[in-house]
Amino acid sequence: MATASPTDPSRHGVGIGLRWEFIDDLLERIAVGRISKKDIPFFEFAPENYLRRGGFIPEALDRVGEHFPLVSHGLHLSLGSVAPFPSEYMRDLRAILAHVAAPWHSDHLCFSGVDGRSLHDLLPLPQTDGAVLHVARRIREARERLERPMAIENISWYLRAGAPELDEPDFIANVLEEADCGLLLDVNNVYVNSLNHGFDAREWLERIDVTRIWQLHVAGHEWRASEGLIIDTHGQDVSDPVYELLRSTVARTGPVAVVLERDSNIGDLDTLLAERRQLQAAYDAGIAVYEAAHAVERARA
Amino acid sequence: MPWSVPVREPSADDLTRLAAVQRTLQRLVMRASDQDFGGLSLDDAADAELHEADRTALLEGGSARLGIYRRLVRATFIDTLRSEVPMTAGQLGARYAPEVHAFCNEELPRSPVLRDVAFEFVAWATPRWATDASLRPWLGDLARFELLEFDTHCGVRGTDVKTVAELPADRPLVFDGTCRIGRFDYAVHELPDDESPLSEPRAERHGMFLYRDPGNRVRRIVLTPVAAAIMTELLVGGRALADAVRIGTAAEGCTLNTAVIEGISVILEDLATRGALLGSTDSPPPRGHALWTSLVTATRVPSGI
Repeated sequence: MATASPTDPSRHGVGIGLRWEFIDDLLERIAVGRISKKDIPFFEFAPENYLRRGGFIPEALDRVGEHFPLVSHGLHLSLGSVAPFPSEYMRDLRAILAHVAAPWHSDHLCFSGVDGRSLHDLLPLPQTDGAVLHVARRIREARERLERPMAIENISWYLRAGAPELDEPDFIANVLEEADCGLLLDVNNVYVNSLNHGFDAREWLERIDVTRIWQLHVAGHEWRASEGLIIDTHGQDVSDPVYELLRSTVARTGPVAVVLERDSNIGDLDTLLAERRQLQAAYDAGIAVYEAAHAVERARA
Repeated sequence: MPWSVPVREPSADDLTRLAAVQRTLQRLVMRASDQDFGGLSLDDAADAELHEADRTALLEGGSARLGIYRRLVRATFIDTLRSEVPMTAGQLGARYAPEVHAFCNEELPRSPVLRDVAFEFVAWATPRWATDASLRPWLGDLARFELLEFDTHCGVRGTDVKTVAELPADRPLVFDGTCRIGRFDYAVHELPDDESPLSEPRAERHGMFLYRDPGNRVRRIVLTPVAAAIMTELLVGGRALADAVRIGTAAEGCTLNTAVIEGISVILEDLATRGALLGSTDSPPPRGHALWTSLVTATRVPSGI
């Protein structure tokens, strides 16, 4: 039995990742009442960008948090690393999560460095039983030290990190079970991996226990001829297949927090809001399927 | 928080195997060359601990694939550093990316906070640049100055230290959390903010005190070398006021006289007016020190220190 999702209706629907590129515009709109939760239900922020920081940036986060619910999504817990968590980092992270009253915290199912080095990227873990037990222990430790429920995100990966004993859905399922945590399911990452590694994204997604899904991510990707791979750049519009995977996933999960991630070629806030509305339509279509299926179930009952 | 499933722990062998994979991947990122990744070999200490099955799996994607995280990681650093030290990157020109690559080959960042990487890079690079005759001698000053401004911009306002308004000579002073100080040999702060490769700053030893005003603007105060030495002892060294004046003056080979005391008094009064100096610590003074305030009230002539 999975730990109940800590999500609440205020964070259902499609939110946007908070970025500097549009923060001035956003604050101006907040100041004059030209944006509200009707336009965007919530924002996701990366706490590492606010650690040990004063001035305009954290003040802006506070201002946004006064008007919109926030969810936190971390970049550098390095949950799979064999190195211990840095104490100062964990202390600062706990403080900011408490400051914004984050309902849960998520980070990636990966490692980002070892032996005191920080690569600031998401490197894959070997899909082995040993790695499952190690990362699950680390997730439990993080939950204790951060004093918040934890969710993990499936990553895009470009290199097989050792000989697998499990395939990716089983690896993730086992981590979720051992750690008793939530899943931040990045639909775009599943799609990118399916193209790079040759599997069916829908079949992959159907093997995920929807009761573990606390949040979804969607983003854009691009083909890099130099690498011969699709790279998860977060720099393009969300592709049509990812829209469809979002719709079919929400049809299984029901109401859930979805975040549009955009980290390069961000454009202006109006453009992002327009893409958000398109994603919200896909989300609503998925919810309609979910509601219809549950109405049938209720009628049978 | 109770677990809903029994907790199982990884074995020592599990961790050894996992660590070998992680060290190997990290060493691939640190490789100096983007070529010859097929040479994942038993000669490498980290590789040597790899399970044979893991080595085979890593090599399955082909040698070019082994370099992908090297390229992704370094591209992130090159972009991030350029955003924090843009004028330095502009002055380095075609040398910029190779310098970041050299940092990755030899060191790699340690902080889990991405914006710290520029500080780690500059701390690593400036001794190299100082001995490289092909680079401008003030490049290190420029990089440190850019970071000092950036750091001031990010500083957390206020203090957790209890303060009193008086400034007795035997106590450390308490500054706002946004205050920073640096010492430079060139007036790099006068360079035009346009990354022009032809600009040359004046050679002039000086200090720069920075803080952020209530409107979050970074403010600069240029200091003479002796004033910078004293203020460094106060702000960075956390020394008591009298000790900071004595040590800072001696370090600059100056005589501690009324002019020095007058000058530093003017600076401190100015900083207090600006809200950058909050007071002194409220810990009880140890014995044997004359009160700074009595020295200040005895002399009134501002000096040019």
